[in-house]
Amino acid sequence: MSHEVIMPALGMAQDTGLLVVWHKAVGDKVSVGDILMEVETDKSTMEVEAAANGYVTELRADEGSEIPVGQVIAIISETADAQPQTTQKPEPIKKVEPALPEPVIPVTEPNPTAKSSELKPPASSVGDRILVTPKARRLAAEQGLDLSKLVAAGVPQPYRIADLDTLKTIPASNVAAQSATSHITARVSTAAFTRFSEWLSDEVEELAPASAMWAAFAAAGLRSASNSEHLTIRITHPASGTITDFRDPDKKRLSTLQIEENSEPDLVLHDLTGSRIVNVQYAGQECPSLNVVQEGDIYELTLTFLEARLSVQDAFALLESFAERMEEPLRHLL
Amino acid sequence: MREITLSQAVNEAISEELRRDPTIFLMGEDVAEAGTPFKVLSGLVEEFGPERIIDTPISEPGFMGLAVGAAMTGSRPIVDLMFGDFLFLIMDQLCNQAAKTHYMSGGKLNVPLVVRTNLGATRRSAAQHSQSLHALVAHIPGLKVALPSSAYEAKGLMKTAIRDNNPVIIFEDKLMYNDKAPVPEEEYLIPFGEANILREGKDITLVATSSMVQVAQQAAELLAADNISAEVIDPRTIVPLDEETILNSVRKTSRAIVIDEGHQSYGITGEIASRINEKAFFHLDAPVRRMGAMDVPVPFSPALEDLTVPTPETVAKQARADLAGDFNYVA
Repeated sequence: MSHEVIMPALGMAQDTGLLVVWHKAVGDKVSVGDILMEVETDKSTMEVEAAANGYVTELRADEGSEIPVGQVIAIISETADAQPQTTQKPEPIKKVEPALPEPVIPVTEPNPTAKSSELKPPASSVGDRILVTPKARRLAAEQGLDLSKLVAAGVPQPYRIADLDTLKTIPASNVAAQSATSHITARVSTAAFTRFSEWLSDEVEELAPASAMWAAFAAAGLRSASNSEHLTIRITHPASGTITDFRDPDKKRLSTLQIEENSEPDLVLHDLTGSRIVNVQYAGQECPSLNVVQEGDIYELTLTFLEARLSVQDAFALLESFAERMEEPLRHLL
Repeated sequence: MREITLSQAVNEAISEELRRDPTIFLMGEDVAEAGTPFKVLSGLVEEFGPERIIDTPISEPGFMGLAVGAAMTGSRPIVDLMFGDFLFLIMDQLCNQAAKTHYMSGGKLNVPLVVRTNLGATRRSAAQHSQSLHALVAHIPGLKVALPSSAYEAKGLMKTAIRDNNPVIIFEDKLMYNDKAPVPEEEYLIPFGEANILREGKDITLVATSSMVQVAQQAAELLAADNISAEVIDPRTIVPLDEETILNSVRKTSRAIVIDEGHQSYGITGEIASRINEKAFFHLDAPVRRMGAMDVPVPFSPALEDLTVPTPETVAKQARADLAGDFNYVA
């Protein structure tokens, strides 16, 4: 029967022992009390005696190795020729050699697998982060408030609950209204439209107003640029103070145009004929607006729009289409 | 209701309990003939005799060890520690023995022991007799820590402490011994771990212990003049701590200042502030503030000593800064 020699625990808080030297070699005869090895702990070096009689048949640890307490490091057998149970040597925790410095990862080649998550910049960089108290941030999220509007409005950070009240007073359109508007202008002769209107008044008993026809022209021009199923065109006539909304005027007969009340317009047409006003543009209005001014026998058509709402390309197409219909109103009917 | 001083309230609490339970005895330095330097225990030795009101030599570790042994073996001792500063002398008996005996005996032994001592500066007693050391014992599991803030609180908490089967350290504020408060004639006890809301408010929570409760109350008055509504909470016991009352208050007010007379660093204020941060984070509209005693030996110079502890003015100033969003201001 063989006896297993383990790394002994020589101190209360000892996890490992350093095997300094073997005093016996494989094949040596040992008796109880013989010095088998020297073990070094953090406090001292001690000689460890054999606890069994027999022959050393295996030494499983190298001198200079740090071995966990309790691990089998040698076998003492009754006979000198007993077969080793295993040829494997235990894994020392580390060789006691001067430690090499940790390998340095080249700066130019960051290891993509090692710390990719840590190398990634945070979702919002520190420079963009809005400073806000935990409660104000939570309330803003719950109420769907956009804290960036406070930044745009120049309110100093960090934001607190009190600032949310300020935030609620900033109109939704404020940011858009602040961005610049674009204008394009067209000129057409009044002759064709005047002739068409006179012919129409002869043919049709219930005459649609000129503004109704313009609403139809504008809707037809806006239709290709719009995704919405229905279009509302608002006609304002500052000279008489009237405001009229038309729903999908391009899809109906001119004589049966329906007038809608209080809908959100997709385009506002300012009929400035018969007035000295030559330009109207309201702050905060997000939809395109079209001014129609008459100067002698010329209609001047000015389209004002936000590029966020109407692309320049669509704006050109809209105004071009409107001008064409004014020059050849019959085209619209076809 | 009649009004009595905190001294009288403590005297009454101990007298009533001594009458109720013959296993209770009290010992300490100058407790019998002198009735303590603060005259809190005057008259007890006359009623209960020198066997139950025991004058000891100047030997804190000795009589503290004696008390722990007596508590383990059937008595219910009250140890009178003349100054809280002398806690350093009894730390092994209190923290290694009394606090751990119930646990280490597998529940076979109880240590029904009360250490009655004091805290508080601004009494011109110099650095070795002015400390507020309740954080030392609050740190040790197995010890309960009560901090009465008035005569009413002192009586109710003392009686609960004496009836507790575990070691309790009860700190009285030295400056408050002559302060009067309404105390009912009939018996009452104040349970441990139930905070007291002294004043309701909606803008900021002032959590204040012991001597700082008065400071917080006066700060709340100053703030009310500025139209700031402060809620004042006295935890009464810091071990056990009534977290829920504090957290519910902060969830309502969104802001908190924790005020305690112990040194600010590594102290009670930091512990309570941290729990608020951890458990009410998404209800905070300002950093939770700690206001403790300055991290210096308490000066003997009155002018300097008064600067080392929070005052109603400094608390109110901090509260105003927090309400105004001036988060860089730290009192």
